[in-house]
Amino acid sequence: MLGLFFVAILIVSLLFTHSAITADIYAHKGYPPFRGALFGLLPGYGIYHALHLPNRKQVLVGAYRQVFSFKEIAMKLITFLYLSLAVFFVLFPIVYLFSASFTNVSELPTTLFPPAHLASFQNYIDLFEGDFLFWYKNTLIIAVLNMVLGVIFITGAGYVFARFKFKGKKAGLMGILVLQVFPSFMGLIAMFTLFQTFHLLGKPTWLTVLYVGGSIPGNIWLIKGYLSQIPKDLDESAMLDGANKWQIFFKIILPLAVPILSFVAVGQFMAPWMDYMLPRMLLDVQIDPNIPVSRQWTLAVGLFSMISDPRSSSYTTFAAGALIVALPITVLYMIFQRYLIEGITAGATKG
Amino acid sequence: MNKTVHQLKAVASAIIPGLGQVFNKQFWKALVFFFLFVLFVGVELGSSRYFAKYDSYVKVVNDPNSGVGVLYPDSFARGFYSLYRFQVDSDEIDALDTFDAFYAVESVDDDGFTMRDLIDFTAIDILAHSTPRYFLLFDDLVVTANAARTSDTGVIDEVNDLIIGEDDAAIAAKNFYRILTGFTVYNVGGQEYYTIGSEQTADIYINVNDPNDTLAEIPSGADAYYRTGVLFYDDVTDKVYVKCTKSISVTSTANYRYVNVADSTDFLEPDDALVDDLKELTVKGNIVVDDAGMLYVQFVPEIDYRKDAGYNATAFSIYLRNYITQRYNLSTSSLTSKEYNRFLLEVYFSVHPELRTEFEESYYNWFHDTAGFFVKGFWSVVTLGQSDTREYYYNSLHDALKSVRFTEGSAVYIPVSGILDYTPLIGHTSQFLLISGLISTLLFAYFLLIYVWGIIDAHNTSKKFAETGERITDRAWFVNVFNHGFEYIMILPALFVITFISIMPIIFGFLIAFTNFSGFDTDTGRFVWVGFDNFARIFTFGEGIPFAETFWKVLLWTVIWAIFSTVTVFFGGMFQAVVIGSERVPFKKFWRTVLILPWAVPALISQMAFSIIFSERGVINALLRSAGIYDTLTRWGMLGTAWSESALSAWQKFLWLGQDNIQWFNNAHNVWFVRIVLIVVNIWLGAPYFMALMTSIMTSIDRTLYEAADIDGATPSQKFKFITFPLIMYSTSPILVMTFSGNFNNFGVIYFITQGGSGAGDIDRAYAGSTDILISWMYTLTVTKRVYNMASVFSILIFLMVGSIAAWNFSQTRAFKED
Repeated sequence: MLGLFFVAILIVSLLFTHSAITADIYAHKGYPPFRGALFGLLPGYGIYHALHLPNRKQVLVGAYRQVFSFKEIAMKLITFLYLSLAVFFVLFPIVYLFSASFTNVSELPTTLFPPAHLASFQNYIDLFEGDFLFWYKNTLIIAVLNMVLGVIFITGAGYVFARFKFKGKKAGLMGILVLQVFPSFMGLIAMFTLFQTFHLLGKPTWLTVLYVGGSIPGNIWLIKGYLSQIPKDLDESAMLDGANKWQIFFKIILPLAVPILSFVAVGQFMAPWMDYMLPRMLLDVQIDPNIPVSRQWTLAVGLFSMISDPRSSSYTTFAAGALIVALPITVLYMIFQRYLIEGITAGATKG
Repeated sequence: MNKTVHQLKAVASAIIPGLGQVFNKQFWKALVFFFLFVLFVGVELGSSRYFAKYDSYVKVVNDPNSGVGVLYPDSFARGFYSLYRFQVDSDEIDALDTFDAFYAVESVDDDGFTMRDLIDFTAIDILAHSTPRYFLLFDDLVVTANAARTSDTGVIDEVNDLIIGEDDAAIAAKNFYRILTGFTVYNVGGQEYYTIGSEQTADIYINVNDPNDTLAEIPSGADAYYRTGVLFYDDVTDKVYVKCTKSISVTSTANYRYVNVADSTDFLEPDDALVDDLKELTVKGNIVVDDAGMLYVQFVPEIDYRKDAGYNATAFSIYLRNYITQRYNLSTSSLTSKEYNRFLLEVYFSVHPELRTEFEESYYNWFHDTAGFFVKGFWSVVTLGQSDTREYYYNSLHDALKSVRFTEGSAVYIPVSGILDYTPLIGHTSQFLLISGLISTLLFAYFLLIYVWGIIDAHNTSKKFAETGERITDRAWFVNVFNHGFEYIMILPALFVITFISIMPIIFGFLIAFTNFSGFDTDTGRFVWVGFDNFARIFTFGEGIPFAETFWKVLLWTVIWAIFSTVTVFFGGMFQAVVIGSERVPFKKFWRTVLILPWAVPALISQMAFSIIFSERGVINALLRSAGIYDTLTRWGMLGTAWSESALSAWQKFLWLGQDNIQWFNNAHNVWFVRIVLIVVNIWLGAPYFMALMTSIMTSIDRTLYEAADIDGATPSQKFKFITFPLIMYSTSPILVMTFSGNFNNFGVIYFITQGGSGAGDIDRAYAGSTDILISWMYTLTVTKRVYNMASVFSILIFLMVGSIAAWNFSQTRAFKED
């Protein structure tokens, strides 16, 4: 088994090495290397074809020879060995999760792919018969509310911090910074007591209040950073035209701020899906003796509950649930990866 | 106008907000300030009971959980007397002389015969019939009926078994000694001694048979026996023995000894033949013996350890309870069981006046029950509550006063349901008090701000008017505020929310660290301020739960974890980016897309997935096993043998991986193996992000730099060392610091993958597992073990550590400096 694995990796690496060499030849001969790489995927033929290509440009003989040197080929091989292994390790857990969700066993599936006789959709069916839909619904409600309310509360404050100088601005910024640094943990007990006093424990929708409040400091920073890039001349020319501050805000700034507002909105929407600590503490209290506590949970708590107790866990159902939750988010992240990474980077380096 | 005028206006605003503004002729402004002042006072008064008479009784009636209602009206008492009189006069029942005498006195009072009087009499009557009594245990060697008291006792009128009743002198003359049950008795020189204090704080040891004979201490090595109170009777020798054991917990028969109650030097060892003849006596109540060796059952109502030793029913009490039952069963009755409970409680208090005083004083607290929101808030924060929860058990009145089913004529009277055995009085719950106290203090701060603003404004406007003659009209002022205060108005909602959602909980969490809020008792009860005690505990080694030792260990691991996880992820990502970015790799996009997948998958999901992938019966172990690696490891001694301190060599212990399966994350003996695996797994989770980051930075590096380097003849590694690497570091060092502090608090990786590691939840490790970092440990402490105060202490320390780093980091960023 192990030998098979190594052989597979080796073959893949060789294939890519071959393709890389072909690309190099193409480049030296003046052709676009990408085409060469594609051709190089056909083993054997690729190099043969490349070698017989007429030169489109003057070939530097020394450099050309280099391509076939032992050192160069060895380096390529090692590189692709590393990359293939990296891809394997990256894909392994994901593939496992996929296959586990289609495996119908009662304990942990122990193979990477399900044996044919155990493959089925049973886990998904179990999932929907369980409390999964409740968790999904709870989390969805929190997410939407969080998105709407969060944007409403934060926008005005962020604009003010970005644009105006007023007494206490520096202190306010410093304070926001300080607030962000406190572990959200410290407030947990207080929120628990507060919720208990007002009998809000166990009601998922009220968690929104916490999420909104907790996200205000961080998001104010984001909006402030973005809005400060909008040139102040716009404001000034509008004021010359006689607009007061409110009009400037609603008619000029807001439309321009749509990108960052959408970013904040998306962030607010995403926040509750993967939060465990808060819901675990605040939703685990039974309020109606007829409804099981598990119906009040959010996704993170529910999913973890499926695997946390070794005596009563349903691993394959967990895999199914995990996939359903992870798939949309993963796809979204992949599509918007450049935008997201730049956003986070900019936020960090430029403040 | 001189200065004093301005100051006077300021003072006017201080006395009544808005007054200064009135003097400044700014009437609308004055109205605003005054309105807010009225709001403040209104809240305070509206939430208070300053003007109502409020005391413990009103409070207990208003509490729906107490089960106690109002007192019966006086008409009830008079109705009772009327019926009693009628039935006596028509010869249906016998007159009760004591009651008649009492009524004769009370009815000519100012208020006539009130309910209070009736209650007092009930108490007097019950007490009179329930004085301590002694029943002879043996009468012709038969345990007498009254001695074996059951709960169906009828009215005590019979005196045949009663040897001593109400005659105090006779009781005193008898010279009773209690047979001590539940006490440890020490045998010194053939005499038995007991002590009243606890073992640790004993003052003197008293001879069982002679209270005047005492010892200051028991010589070591003296025999000690614990009197169980179980009595045995030997009908051959007419002796009564009490069973004693050498220790309470060990119950083997070899431990026993049977001691003659009349003579403690006479005892039987378990192997004595006479033991077989002993018969066990079951008697309810205290057994006492007099100096003639006669045994009595002592009846004292409500001996501490037996709450069901109740008061006897008396003729009057039976009559009264029947009356109440009849009244309930009238269809026009508005009486509920709550009033009945109140009645029982009142009688109980009359029987125990000291409890009544305690009830009146401690259940009612002026600050808690009468004061308004703000005043109560201050008190709450300072004292954290002053009364504990209390239960007043009056089930000792059960026999006397609780209604029973009875038939009278053709009518059947059903007992009233819902009668309680006790009244629960909820004391102060510190955590709620602290929260509401904090909220009220914060709100008060807001009001204070406005108040001060009003004073200053009065002064300044007046001054400005004096200097410039310019006074802003109200309308202009509002427009001004609207414009100028645009900033403040926009911030206000967010600020308000932040105060109560972010700031208040943090202050609360901060304050908890200075209390003893931990465990189930304090959850629903009181805790107190303990100052810096909890912080001192971090430095106190070897005492109680080992928070000190564990804290430093966990801290060390947290720091190591933060450093290594950040560094590995950073350089791992960089390495990946460089490799893919190098010229020899085609299909860069493909590789990047695939390798960024771990970042795209939500972290929570991957963490949970890892926990099941690496579990002992998980897929990795299964694959390794089928790949033959297990056999190799077993041959090397790293797998397959059970752990034992002695049997394995040091090297084997160092490499031990598990018994049947590799224990990736719960290897209790090879903790560093687990930690290293965790760091490696974390690379999977974190490196892709850095790979993408580095890639985007590298592509934005000016190409001309490289070209210039090429011209100078630089090798690729030199190009990397002098161009790429420094530029990357410059751009990403803030992110590096952010990642460090993020990993310091990385709850998910630790908790979901390892659940804290081996040993999590063990009290000897102060509940910390072997892979727990500070934050996951704090989580366990708070949610599972409820040690809130220590968790708060740790979170404060985390904040100080991480916060200073993060604050420094942010202050270095350009945007902050520009501002």
